[in-house]
Amino acid sequence: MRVSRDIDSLVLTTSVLLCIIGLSLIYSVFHPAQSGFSQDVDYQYFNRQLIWVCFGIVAMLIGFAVPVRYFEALAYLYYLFCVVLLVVVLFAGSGDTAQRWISIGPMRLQPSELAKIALLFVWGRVLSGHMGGMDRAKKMFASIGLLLVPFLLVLRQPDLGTAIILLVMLLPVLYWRGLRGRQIFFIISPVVAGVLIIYCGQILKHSWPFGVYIVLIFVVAYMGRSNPRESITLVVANLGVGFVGPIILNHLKPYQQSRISTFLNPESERLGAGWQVFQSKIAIGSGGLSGKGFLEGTQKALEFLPAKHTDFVFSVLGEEMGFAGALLVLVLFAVLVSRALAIAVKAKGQFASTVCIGIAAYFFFQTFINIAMVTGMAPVTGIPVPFLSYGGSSLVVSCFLVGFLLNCSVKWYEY
Amino acid sequence: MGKRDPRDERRGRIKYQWLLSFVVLMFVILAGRLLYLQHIRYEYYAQYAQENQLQRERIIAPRGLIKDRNGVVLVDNVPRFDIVMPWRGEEDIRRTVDHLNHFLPIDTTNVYERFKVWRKRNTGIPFPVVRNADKLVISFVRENYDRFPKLRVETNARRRYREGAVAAHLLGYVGEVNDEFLLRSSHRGYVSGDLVGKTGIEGVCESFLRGKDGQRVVAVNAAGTKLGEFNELLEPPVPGKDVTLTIDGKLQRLLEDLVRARGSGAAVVMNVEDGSILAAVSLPGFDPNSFAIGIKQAEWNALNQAEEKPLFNRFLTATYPPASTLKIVSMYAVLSNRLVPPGEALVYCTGAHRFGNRIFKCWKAWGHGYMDLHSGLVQSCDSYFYKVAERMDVDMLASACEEFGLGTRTGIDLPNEIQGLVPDRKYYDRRYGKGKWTQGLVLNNIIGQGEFLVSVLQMCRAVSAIANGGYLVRPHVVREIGGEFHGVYPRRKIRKLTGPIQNRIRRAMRDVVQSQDGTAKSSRVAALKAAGKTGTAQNPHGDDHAWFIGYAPEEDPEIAIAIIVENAGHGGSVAGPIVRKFYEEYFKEPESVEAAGPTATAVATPVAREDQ
Repeated sequence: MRVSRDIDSLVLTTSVLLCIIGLSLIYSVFHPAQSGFSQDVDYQYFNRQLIWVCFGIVAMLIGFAVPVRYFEALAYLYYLFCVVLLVVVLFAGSGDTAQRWISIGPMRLQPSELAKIALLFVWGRVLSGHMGGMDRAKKMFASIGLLLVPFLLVLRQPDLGTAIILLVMLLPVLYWRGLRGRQIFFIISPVVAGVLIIYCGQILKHSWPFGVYIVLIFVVAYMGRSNPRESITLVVANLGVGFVGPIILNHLKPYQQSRISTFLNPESERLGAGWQVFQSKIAIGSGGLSGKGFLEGTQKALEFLPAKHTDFVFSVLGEEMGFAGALLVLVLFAVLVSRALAIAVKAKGQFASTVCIGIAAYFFFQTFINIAMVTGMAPVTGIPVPFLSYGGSSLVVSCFLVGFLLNCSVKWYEY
Repeated sequence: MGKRDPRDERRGRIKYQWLLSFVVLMFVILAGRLLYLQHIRYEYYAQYAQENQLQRERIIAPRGLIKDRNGVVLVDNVPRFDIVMPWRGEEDIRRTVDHLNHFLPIDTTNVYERFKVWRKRNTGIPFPVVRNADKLVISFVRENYDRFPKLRVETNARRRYREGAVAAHLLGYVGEVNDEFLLRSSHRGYVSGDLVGKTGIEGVCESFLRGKDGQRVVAVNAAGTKLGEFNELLEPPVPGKDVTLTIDGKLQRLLEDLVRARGSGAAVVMNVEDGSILAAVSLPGFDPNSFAIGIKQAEWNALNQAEEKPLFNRFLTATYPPASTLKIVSMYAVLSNRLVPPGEALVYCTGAHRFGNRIFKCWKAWGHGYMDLHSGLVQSCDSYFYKVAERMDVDMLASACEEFGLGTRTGIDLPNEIQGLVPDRKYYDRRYGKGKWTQGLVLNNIIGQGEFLVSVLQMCRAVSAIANGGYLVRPHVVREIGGEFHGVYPRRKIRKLTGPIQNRIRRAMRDVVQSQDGTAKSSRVAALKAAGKTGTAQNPHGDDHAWFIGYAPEEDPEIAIAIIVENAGHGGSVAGPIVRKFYEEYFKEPESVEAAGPTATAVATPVAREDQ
């Protein structure tokens, strides 16, 4: 028998609030606007999401009540299970443009969401102190290896957005488990350089962001001049990527180039992304400070907003609730993430602590990338917002992770 | 989990603070971005949201032109008008269409079907209510602006085939994409209602001819009037590439007229050196313009079910028995396998040949008299070849045919090429059973009857090989794409078609045309030495098909020709005169000789020599 006290009420409150906001948004999305057409309200999505919330509550209870050591013990088994599902989805999956779902009766399961939990757990296990005989570098490589399998499978679907989430979640986890800030910077800076030079050069047709970035690299290298070898490597690596990237790109055949730019900017197809993001910006911008009012959004009703119940749900929020509503959601997520970080600090055991950092990374990146996308700051990649976007797998995973946070936050008394 | 290392704990706190600051910073950036959009730029976006004033217009990229080898445009684009309506909910569109139906005859079921497909694609472009509207509809929409404020007249491009039915099978035609095409993932970027090349050059060169569509975003007020363009989202269209063919439009028209005068059939004229096709005729034809406008079902049915099959490509997709034209290949088989040693006794043709207990008839009922290989070909004596065939293995002929590219696809850059059939031992074993067929089949085969089936294009290539010194070329019709030369293909040497063997065949083919006994003297043109072979293909369904294959000039060959006229009778008397008229035009006109390319001077020489 386990009893607890000191449950982290902030985590619980924010997630419950976000859940409620999400449900009302999905209700609103399919509710005709005032100017309306004589069509009936489509409750189908709302009802289904309601059912998913019930599953979410169960998932949260599981995450909360099952002792952490069981999760730790089952980590690899669960990871294997997820990898199998990801392989299955490649062959038997369904989806409009990519194979992302497995249909189980009326429900659709998205294994790539489940894989996020799996990765957090196996990383927690590999990087915590239990792997006797392995030094730190080996652990790091092991965690990267564990990432690669689901990463490539998800990329194959193709689902670039989710794959990127899987990738970036690892960075804070590695940082927490021993890598220093400098080293993190070393890892990501050439990647940033590559993305900047190709993305800005090919899609935005500007190269000044890369210039600014290189200046920044020089500053960092100067600051670290006490260790000249590292500084020189840093500069050379970044400049190298900057020079070699475009050369390689220019030597590719035109169809290969367009494949790369489609890869970096998946929805850029003819008449695609620019239009979507612009419509999203109109929705958000026209919301103003206080919004048009719940159910009063006009952009959503006219089907101008694509994927308005999933990837662009935040645009509906911005339109109907205005800056006030959007800010509220931002604050709620900020609180959730910062509590997750705080719980990681005081959690008992390295496994729990590592997983909590991963959970913070999960909530942070999902939210940040999505909002950056719908406000036109990042390419359209199709990442849902936790709790707000329609979709069962994402909701259940988010609920479970909140349950796990609560589990780590409390003091358990075992009798 | 044991005691904590105080140093670890301190480092953990520092990392926690870094992470927290990073998270807060990022969220502040997002909040700043939101504040910018929702406060500072509020007016701007609110204005666009007001009535959903923005509409997306696709700027359809002009499709590339198709030109002939002299740069004469064969296919271009002309304006076409569509009546379109922006997306404002399904109800709205249905109401408008029903309302419009009171005034104009509209096929509403068709409109709704297209609407379903269009909606599924959800590209945001306006829905085309009436495609390719006529003047009546356009003026109605323009005049009744108050009644139908949402309808707009949009200008698009229509494909125009300038010469109508000329080279219709070769050029192909465009039509609206169908659902199956749209669903294939390799065809991204196509929208319901787009025109796509269906067959011929239009189909094969689709990816080049089609450009990349652009888009413009326009601001429109509630009444549908255009207020202005929104340049931030302007994507200019990229026009398609022009395709230049090896076809000579003039020669094509000439040859079509000549064949049409004698009925239906097919003809191919090819440069013997590189396989570029100067003219490719299939008759009867059809007018591809009717497809470009959007062919009506009744019209399509009529074309599709017509007895004479106008849509059927007779130079590429039809097969015929080669008949006596095959004898040039038979002759090669005889010579390369040394079946007729020097000093061989002559064969006496009585008009029939007995083999076993069967009688094989020669086409000349009263007999040719004494024949050798040369005169056997010149006078097309069947009896001579029957006699030789008694000694010939079935695979000797089959492999000779294979070397000449008969019964295999030529690899021409046009779709739906047919393979044909060259019977060999395996084929007969499969068909009749091992040992259950007799040498008699070979007797039939050697004169081109029996199971043999070839296309006109294959025969043209085979005769080119004799003309160009024994090389099997790759026939092609595309010369340049987007100004870049595209017509170099490898050619294959026919192993034993050299020296004496080649000379004997060429001499015989020359005499077919040039000597008094030749079967093709009807194709003779004064001041031009040519070579050829006639054929008369027995047709179980009607009158015989008339064949002619040949090349000219004889001494320095430049073009090869293969022609079949369906149900027209004898090759010498029907196909021969057509070839004569074609040669007369081709070798007379200085422009067309010049246009034929680098061999132009070489052509002039034999003519001059003849004058001496």
